[in-house]
This record gives sequence, structure tokens and C-alpha cells, in this order.
Amino acid sequence: MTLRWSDYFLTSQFSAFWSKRLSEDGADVCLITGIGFDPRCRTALDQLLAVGRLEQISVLGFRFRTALDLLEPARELNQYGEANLQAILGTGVRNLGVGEIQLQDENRFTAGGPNAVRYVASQIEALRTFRHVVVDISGMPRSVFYPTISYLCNRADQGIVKNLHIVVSQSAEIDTAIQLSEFGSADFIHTFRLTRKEKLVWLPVIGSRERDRIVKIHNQIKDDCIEICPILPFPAKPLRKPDDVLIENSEVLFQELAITPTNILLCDEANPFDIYRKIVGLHDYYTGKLSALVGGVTTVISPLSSKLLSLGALFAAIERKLPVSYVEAGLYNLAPAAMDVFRGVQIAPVEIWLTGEPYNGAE
Amino acid sequence: MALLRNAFRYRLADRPTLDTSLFLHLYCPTLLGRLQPEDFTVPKLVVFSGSPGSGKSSFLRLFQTDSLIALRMNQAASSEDVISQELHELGVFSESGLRFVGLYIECDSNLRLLADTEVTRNNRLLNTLLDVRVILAYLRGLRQLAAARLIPDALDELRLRPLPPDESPAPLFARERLFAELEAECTKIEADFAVLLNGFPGDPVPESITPHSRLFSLAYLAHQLQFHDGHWPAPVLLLDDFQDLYEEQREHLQNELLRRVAVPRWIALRKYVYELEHLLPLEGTKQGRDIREIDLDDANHRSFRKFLENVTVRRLRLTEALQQLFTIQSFRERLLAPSETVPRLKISAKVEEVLDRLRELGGSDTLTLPQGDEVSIELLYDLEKHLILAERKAIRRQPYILPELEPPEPSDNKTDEAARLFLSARYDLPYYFGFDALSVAAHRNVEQFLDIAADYAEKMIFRSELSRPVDLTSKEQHDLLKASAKRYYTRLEQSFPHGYTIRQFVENLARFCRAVTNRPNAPIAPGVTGFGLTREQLQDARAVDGPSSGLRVFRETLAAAVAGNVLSIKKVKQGVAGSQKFVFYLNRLLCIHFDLPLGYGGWQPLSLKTIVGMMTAPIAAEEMGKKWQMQSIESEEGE
Repeated sequence: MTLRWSDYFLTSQFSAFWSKRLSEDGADVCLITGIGFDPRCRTALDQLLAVGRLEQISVLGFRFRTALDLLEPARELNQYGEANLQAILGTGVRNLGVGEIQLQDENRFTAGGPNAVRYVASQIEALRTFRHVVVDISGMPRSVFYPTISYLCNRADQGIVKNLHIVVSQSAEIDTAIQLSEFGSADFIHTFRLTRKEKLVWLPVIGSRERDRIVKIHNQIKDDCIEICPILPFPAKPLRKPDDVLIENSEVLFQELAITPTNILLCDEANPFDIYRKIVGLHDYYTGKLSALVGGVTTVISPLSSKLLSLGALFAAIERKLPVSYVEAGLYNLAPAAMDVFRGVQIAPVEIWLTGEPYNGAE
Repeated sequence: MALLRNAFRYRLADRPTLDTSLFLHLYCPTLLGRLQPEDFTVPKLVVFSGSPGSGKSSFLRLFQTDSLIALRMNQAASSEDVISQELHELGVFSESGLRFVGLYIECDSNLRLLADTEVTRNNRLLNTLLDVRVILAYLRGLRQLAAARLIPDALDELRLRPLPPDESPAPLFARERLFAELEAECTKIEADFAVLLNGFPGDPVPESITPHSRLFSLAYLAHQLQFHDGHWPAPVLLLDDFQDLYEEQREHLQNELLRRVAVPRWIALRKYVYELEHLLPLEGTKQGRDIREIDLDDANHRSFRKFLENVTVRRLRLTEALQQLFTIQSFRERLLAPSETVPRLKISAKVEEVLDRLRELGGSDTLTLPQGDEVSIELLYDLEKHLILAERKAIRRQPYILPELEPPEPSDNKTDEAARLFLSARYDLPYYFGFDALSVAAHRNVEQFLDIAADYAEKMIFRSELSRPVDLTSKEQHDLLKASAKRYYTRLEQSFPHGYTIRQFVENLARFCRAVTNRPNAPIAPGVTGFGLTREQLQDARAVDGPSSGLRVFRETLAAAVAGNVLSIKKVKQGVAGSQKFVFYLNRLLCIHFDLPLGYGGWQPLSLKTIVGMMTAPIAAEEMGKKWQMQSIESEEGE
């Protein structure tokens, strides 16, 4: 079966790409970015401003809020978030709006996804006017960018969004400096819910020390789970990474879940379309082979690894309407000297052109 | 029967990894004793509450159709079928077959999120989806019973009668339908609900979904039973994970279930949903007229240990390499006590410190260790006890004029235990060993017990596979418990709601407990493992305040810690009559992590301000430890 993104557009020459795009007649761009403590939320905007004119660029922001403002880590993160917001507004870029996105509701259930989609939907007429809409997922939790991109992709298919781009400023050093805690229960991400009771093949995309989240997600789907195929990053930087991930999660994978080593799938960490193709292929394979034996079968994805791999998994979920089970962190802690790490890291954003001109045959 | 490699690794609610027959062999029927025959007939709403891992889901699973069918079919085959006997006594089984089947419904996020799709928040969609799930659960259960030949086959063409018009039923229940027709329609509606929940803003509601003004399914099923009496078992609604709904949904459903009394209704929930005042009934125990609450956490220590012994034996029987340990006694014997002596070389430097200190405190100058390469642990223990007593004597403010008339310092069991703790710490000897330590470490939570015991079993299995004795030395047991405790502690922040503040508080509290416990004179022997609050303090903490106030942090953190079994509560009386205190004890695994004794008893009062401070930032132990004194207590609850 033909894949939607069998041909795709991906480049790490972010500045060069946008320099060319923004030099075209009438080109303008709206950047949707999640504004929290993560300094990566400013990287793409800074680079766009460096290659384009101020009047060509607009920003639609999600300002994330948590229910834990009294706690020291949350207070500290809020201060960084405010600083990032002021830095973005201080650039003089046209501000389309900054929506307050509550990541948890009053009962501490995850609520960021629905809130973000509602906010973007309220701005869809404004987005319609831009030639390019770019979603910068660098500072967004998965529970937010999964439904947001899914919604915009849907609206792009309806012709409302002309060109949809994704940008990721990935940095393993920064990821390591951010520690996740207060995990809630596993749940399906908004707009990626399981649609009916059927047997499940589970593809957890695994990062380091993820035992708690793996167990929670497994507890959610175990009733119907018939096969588990963990996905590890390879090729990856460093090359030892899949070994390290396996060692760190060996107890949960091999003792608690009794994974068969031959079920492990390796996907290129730097190219989201590799994992996308493999997940779609695996889903098609399992549904083809198992449906006759056990009835309905579908694939559940759990993106617990890097943003690029999570993005590839999202493309597969959009393409095959796959459920995505995830555990969102309730609290983020910064490791000591995290800000030094943030300041010292050089980040090259990755540009992915998801819908629009290249796929319509127009240029 | 198929055997498992390590049966302690399995959780009973794990359906795909554990088939029904294994589940039933592993299930310990003790909790069945909490049920009464009236729970299947009297129109009271039965609420099972407990911490995570207290056995709620496993308990409900016992009443699901597949479990009951398996029990019914195997009834004749097993003479020691305790579960079947209990179910017979409860009236679940009759001579002719099953009288009840459970309709297991998980309150998942699909039900919860319906609240967000309804503009008016009137729970009408919640009623609809719940109705559909109840009907489907019963119809599927009937299919299983027909397949097992426990009811007549040929269900597809059976006619299901509508509810009478005076009940103003929803369209789904307003006309006669064939069994297969209703099943297909409900399946479609359930799938359309998923479409609705996956929809984007502005998408239309699927046509098949009609909001229901109230729950109709229970009355509908009861109505059908009138026409199929004697053939079909009565349904028992089993609503699991009730805590995953919003509070207003829980209230709505509770009201609905209290009104719709046509079938027995059971709810299982984690205590997370409770506010402090419910967890600690400040206004006195509320005996529900319409609700019967069964707290799965409130077993006393003795009966819980018996329960664990039963669990252990059942798991051993199903563990391939450990089947030979088929009694609890033989398992206990494999958990070895420490040897009675230690090499002199290992302890000589430290024992000299003890002797020096005893001499400083007025002991004989001739105090020495007897000759030999080995030193008796009993001797070291006596020295430790004498040192504690001497330290106590030394800090007494008013010395006797004639020392020879000075009475000896009294010792008691608690001082003996403190000496044992000091001995272990000083000479690096095992302290946590034996089956009693294992069962206390479980802190009245069966999942916590299985987590710990699985590691014991793993080591024994490994030895058995190498054809070596499966005995665990006291040092190995101590190390295994310490490893489990470390794992529990490190997961605290990630695993619980309010995990950050819980971890912060536990860390501070443990620091204080250690500071007091380890004072040389062991003032609160054998040690402090908890803190106390008065009824008035807790009532003050209920004051309404802003979202960022410390009192809110206090309430939510304490409630989450109690609900998650990180802290357990004991009510005690102290001083003047009626002066009741709530003592919060650390989970015993945390005591192990922080080298504290396992016994209950020692605790200290704390102010709300101090506790809020301990929840939000690290506090130095020295600030508080010096002020702590022994609290006399009169327990209201047996330990």
C-alpha cells in the first residue's frame, strides 16, 4: 500500500531552507510554539528572524501552566517560562496570540492536548491566511503536539492550512538535564484513543530508565495485548545508545514483560520517516497475519523516546489511525546546572515539510 | 496444571499472562470472608476501597463470568476448593448452576472525558456509554455461559423485552429487540463513542449516540430476568477504578446507583479520591444507610500475616523450582537466622569503642572481651544494651549521693530492640531477616509483599536450578529487603500523585526519625517511625484557602500519601480523656530504607507549619530532633 509520506521533505539546513522560502513573493509564516521553561522553544524563531523580515513572521504561543505553582521546581520553571515568553515578545514579532494551556485540570488529569487543540481551532481562520504554518515541537510535551499536529494535518487535508511544517530542536544533553516525575496513569493521547475492543500489538519506543512508564502503559493495555515489540534508536548518537537503553530497562523488558529479543525493532534516531515506515509496515503485517486468527488487531504506540522518534511514530499514528498510549509527567525537575547545559549547547533545528506544495506537485 | 517459573512475579489482575485456572489457584480467598450474602441481594451500594495493590481488581475478577464458569466446572474435581465453598455459602452458586455473574466495567478515561464533550455537563453521555457497556458485558457473559452449556444455547433469536413506557426509557430500551440485534447496536454505539472522543472541535456527534437522561441498563436487565427467571444468572455490576472519574461524575453515578436498585452494585476505588476528612473520619465514623464500605487496607497485622502465609503457600506450589517448600513452615526454615558468633577481627576495633565508652560512663576498668577468634553476638548485644542503660544513667540530672544505692536502669523489650538495632548498625550485621520481617515490610499491601517476595523466590529458584540448597542467609535477606526498599523509595516521586512533596516530606521525616532513634541513650526505644497530629490540627487544615497555600499542599500531600500507603494511620489516645491523636507511620519499606526499626509505637507530634515546611524544602534534622521526647500512647486500634 502506498504511504502518504513515502516521499518526504526533511532537512537539517533550517536557516538555508527558510531563507529561500521567505525570499519568495508574499511568503509569510506563522510559528506555533510551546512556551515553557525549555529554551529550545526560541531556537526556531530566532533562526527565522535571522533570515526573514519581521513583518513576514508571526507567532502563536502556548503558555503552559501546571497545577503545582507552590512547589520550588514548578516556581523555578515558571520563571524560565516567563523569561522565554518575554524574550519571544521582545523580538517585535507579530503576536497572533498566546493561549494559556493548563497541562492538568483541577483533578490533576492530563488536559494539555484538548486545551491546545481548542486554542488552535479558535485561531484557525487566522492560520488560514498564512502561506506557511510551522509547529515547533521542541518545547511541547507529546500530549500536546500529537493532537495539535493531528488537527492541523486534518485541516491541511481540507485545504485550510496551506503548508504545514514541523520543526524540532533536538538535544540529548538538554533532554538529560530535564528529569520527569509525578507520572499519572497511562492514557490514550487526545484524538488517538482506541476506537474498539480488539487485540493489540504494542510498540513502545523506549528511552533510558523508563520502567515506571512502561509498566503503567502495559497495565493499561495488558488485557488485550498479544505482542510487544520495543523500538530502540539505531543508528543513534552515541552508537552504544540502544545497548544502554536495553541495559537500563532490562529488568522490566525481559523479566516483567518477558519480551522476546527477536521482537526488538531498531529505528534511525535522526530520521522520523524511518520509524514511520517501520511502524506502518509492522501494523500492516500484524493485522494481515493475525486478524484471521484472533479477530480485530491494531497497533498501540507509546512514544517514550526522543522527539524525532516520537514524531515518526505520530506520522504512523495519523496514517493508520493508531491509538497512542502515553504517561505524561506531572512535574519536571531541572538537574543541577541545567541552565549551564542549556546555554552551552549548539542546536540545529530539523525542518520537516509535512503537507502542502511538495506533495501537491506545485512549487 | 501448568507451573510458573516464579509465581510471585504475577499480579492476579494480569489477565493475559495468567489464565483463569492459574488465577484461581493463586487466589487467596481470605477477602471473600469480608462479603456477606446480603451483598448480593440487599440494595446497598457496596464500595471496596484500598490503596494501589490492595487486591481490589483481583477481587472483582473473581466474580467475572470466566472465573465463575471455571470454578463451577472444576467444582467437582477439587476437594480442597475453598473458593467454591465460600461462593456456595455466599449463594453465588446454587445446585443447578450460577446465580450471579459479575459485569466488570472499568471506569476508564473514555467515560471521564465525556464530561468535556458535554457543554452542559449533565452526564447524559456518561449514562449512555455506561448503559451500553453494562448491556454488552451481560450479553457477552451470557454467550460465555451458553458456550459452557450452563444456560440454553441459541441466544441470537431470543427476544428482549422493552422497558415499560411509564419508565420513559431511552430509545435503546424502548422497543423489543433480538439478542443479536441489541448486541450489534451496542457494539456500534460504543465504537461511535470512540469516534466522538477522537473528534476535533466542530465535528458532529455520531447519529447513533443518543444521550440518556438516567441509567436504564440495570432496570432493563432486571426486567429481562422476569422473563428468563431460572435460566439466566442475575447480574452484579462491578465498577472498577471509580477514582478515574471526575468528582461530579462520581457523585452523579453514586446517586444513580443508589436509586437504581434492581441489581447488586459494587464499586472499587483507590483511596486517592478521598479528602483527608474521609480518610480520617474527623466527625466520627459514618455508617452508611445506603452504602456499605469495605476497606481492604484495614486488616490487623496478625490476620494480614496469616493472609500472606496463605498467599506464599499458593505461590510456592505453582513455582516449578520451589514446589518442595509446600508449607509455610518449610519456607520459613529456608530463611536462616544469623550465626551466633562473628570473627573477632571483624569487630575488634568497634567493640573497643564500646568498652571505652562504658568505662567512661563508670564501668569497670577491667572490662574486656573474652579470648578466642570468635565473639558471641549475644555478648555484643549485652554490651550494647548496657551502653544504652549507662548513657541513660549518665544524663540523669540528679545523681545519687551514694552510688551503691543507685537502682539499676530498667530495661524492657523496647530497649532490647533498640540494642539490636544499634548492634546491627555498629557491626554491619543483618537486622531485617526472617518471615516476620518480610511480612511486616509488606505494610499490609499484597502487591508490595509480592514485589519483595519475588526477589526472595528468584534467588531460591536460581539456587535450585544449580542443585544447591535454597536457603537464604540472614545477610542475603537483609540485602534483598534493602534493595526492595531502595527501589520503593526511588520510585516514590514518579509513582504517586503529589510524589514530589511526598518524597520531600518522607526524606525530612526520616532524617528526624533517625536523629532521635540513633541517640546513644535510645530515648524513644526502639525508635521513631511516625508523627502525630491532633484532631484539632486536622480540622484546622480543612480551612478553605487559595490554590497556592501551604494548607492545600498539606491536605493533598497527606491524603495522597495515606491513600498510596506511603503513610498508614493509627488512632491513639494520649493524656486527658478524649485527647485523640492520629499517628501517621512510615511505610515499613521506608523504615528499612532509612535503617529504622520495623515496630510501631515511637512517634512525635509535629505542627502544621513544620509539616508544610517539610513538604516543600529540605530541613536540617538537628533543628527538630533535640526537642523530641517519648510519647505515652494508648492505642485505640490493635496492632
